[in-house]
Amino acid sequence: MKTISLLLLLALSSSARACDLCGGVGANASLGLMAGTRFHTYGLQTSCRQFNGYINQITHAKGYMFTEEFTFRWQALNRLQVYGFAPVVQNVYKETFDTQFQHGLGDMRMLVNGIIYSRSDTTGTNLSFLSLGYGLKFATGQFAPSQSMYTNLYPGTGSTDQLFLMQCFKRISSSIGIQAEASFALKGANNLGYRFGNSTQASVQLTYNQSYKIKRLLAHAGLVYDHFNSNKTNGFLLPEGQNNKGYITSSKMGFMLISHQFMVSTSIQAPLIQRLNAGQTKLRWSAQLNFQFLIQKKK
Amino acid sequence: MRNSILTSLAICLLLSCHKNDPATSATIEFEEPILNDTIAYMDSIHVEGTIIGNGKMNGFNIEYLNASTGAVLHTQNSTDTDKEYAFHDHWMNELIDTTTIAVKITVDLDGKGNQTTAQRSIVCLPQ
Repeated sequence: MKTISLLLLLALSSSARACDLCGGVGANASLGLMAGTRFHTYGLQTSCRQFNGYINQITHAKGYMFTEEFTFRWQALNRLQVYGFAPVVQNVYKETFDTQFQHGLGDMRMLVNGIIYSRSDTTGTNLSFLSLGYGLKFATGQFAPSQSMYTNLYPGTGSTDQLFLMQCFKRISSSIGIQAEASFALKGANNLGYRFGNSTQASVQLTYNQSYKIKRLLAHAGLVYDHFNSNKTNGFLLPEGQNNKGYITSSKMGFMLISHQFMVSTSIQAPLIQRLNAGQTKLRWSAQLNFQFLIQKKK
Repeated sequence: MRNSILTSLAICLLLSCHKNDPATSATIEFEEPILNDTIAYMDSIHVEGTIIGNGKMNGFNIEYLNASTGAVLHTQNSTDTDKEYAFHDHWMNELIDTTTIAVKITVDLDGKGNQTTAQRSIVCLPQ
C-alpha cells in the first residue's frame, strides 16, 4: 500500500512541459515524489504543443513543437532522488509561403530532489509531504546563430539555466488528494548575449485514484499558470512583440495507469487565459504521453 | 409523423448551412514595409500585413516590382480560400543599382477575375 501510494505521487507529478516557445527547452520542470521507495525509473516522454502566430489577430503561422525525452530517475537515498532528461526536438513552423524546420538534440537537464517533510499513517501510506529540488539545464542543443523571429524554434538556448522546484501533496480522503507545485527557472545568456526570460510555473491539481487488482488508475485535473519574463539581448530588453513576455493560465487533466513494473500517463493542457508576445503568439494546446519502467531496488 | 420530422430536420440543416459568399471587396493593410523605406544591400525587405474581405477570397499574391520598368523581381502566391489573411514575407535586396521597388499585393476576390490591389514603394540601395 505504501509503495502504491508513493508511486501515485510519482505519477501525479509527471514532468510538466513549459509553455515556452523555446523548442526543446523546458522553462520549468516538475518532479516526482517517491521518498523512501525502492524504485528507480527510466522511460520515454513524448510531448507536443501547438502555438499560432498572429498579425492583428489574424493567424499567419502555426508552430508544432514535438519533443521525445529520455528520462531516468535514480533513488540515491531514501529521501533523495536524481533525475535526468535528454530531449530530442522536432519543431515545425508553417507560414503562408514558407515552412521552417529545426530538429536535433535539445538541452539536457539534471535535477536533484529532496523530501524535506513527509507524514504517513499507521499503514505507511503518505498523507502529505513537501519536497524541494534544484537542477541545471545544460547547453547541449543547437541554438539560433543570430537573433531572429525563429530563435525560439531551435532545440536549445545556448545557455546554462538553474531550476528551483517545490512540490507538496496532501491526501484529503482515501482516494482524493491535492497537489501543488511551483518552479522557477533562472536563465543564463548564451555566447551571443541572448538571454531567454526567467520563467515561473505554478500548478494545483486534484487527484483521484482507484485500484484494480494490482494496477491503479489515477485521474487528475487542475490549473497551471506559467509566467515568462522578457527575453534580452546583451542586457537590453527586446521590444514588445519580440520578447515573448507574458503568461498562460491553462486547465490540465490526465490519466495514469500504474503497475509494479511500469507507469503510463497521458495529459492534455488547454489555455484558458493567455497573453504572450503582445498577443502575437498563442498556445493552442499541448499533450503529453509518458511511459516509465519501474525498477525495484534489491534489498 | 416521421416524414414531418425528417423534413423539418432537412430544412434546419439547409438553413444552418454556412454561406460562403465570395468577396466583392477587401481591405489590404501594410504593417511593413514603411512607405519609402530604404533597404541596404543584402538586407531583407520585410513585408507584413493583413487582408480582410467581405466574403470568401480565393488567395493573394505578393509581387516585388521594379517601379521604373514594371519587371517582376520576385513573387509569392497563396491559393488558400479564406475571409481574412495575414501575410508575411522576406526578400533579400541584392540589386546592383539604386532601385525603387513596389511591393504589390493582389487579392483574388472570387476566382472569376475580380481583384483588388494595394502597393507600397521602397528604395533598395546598391552595395
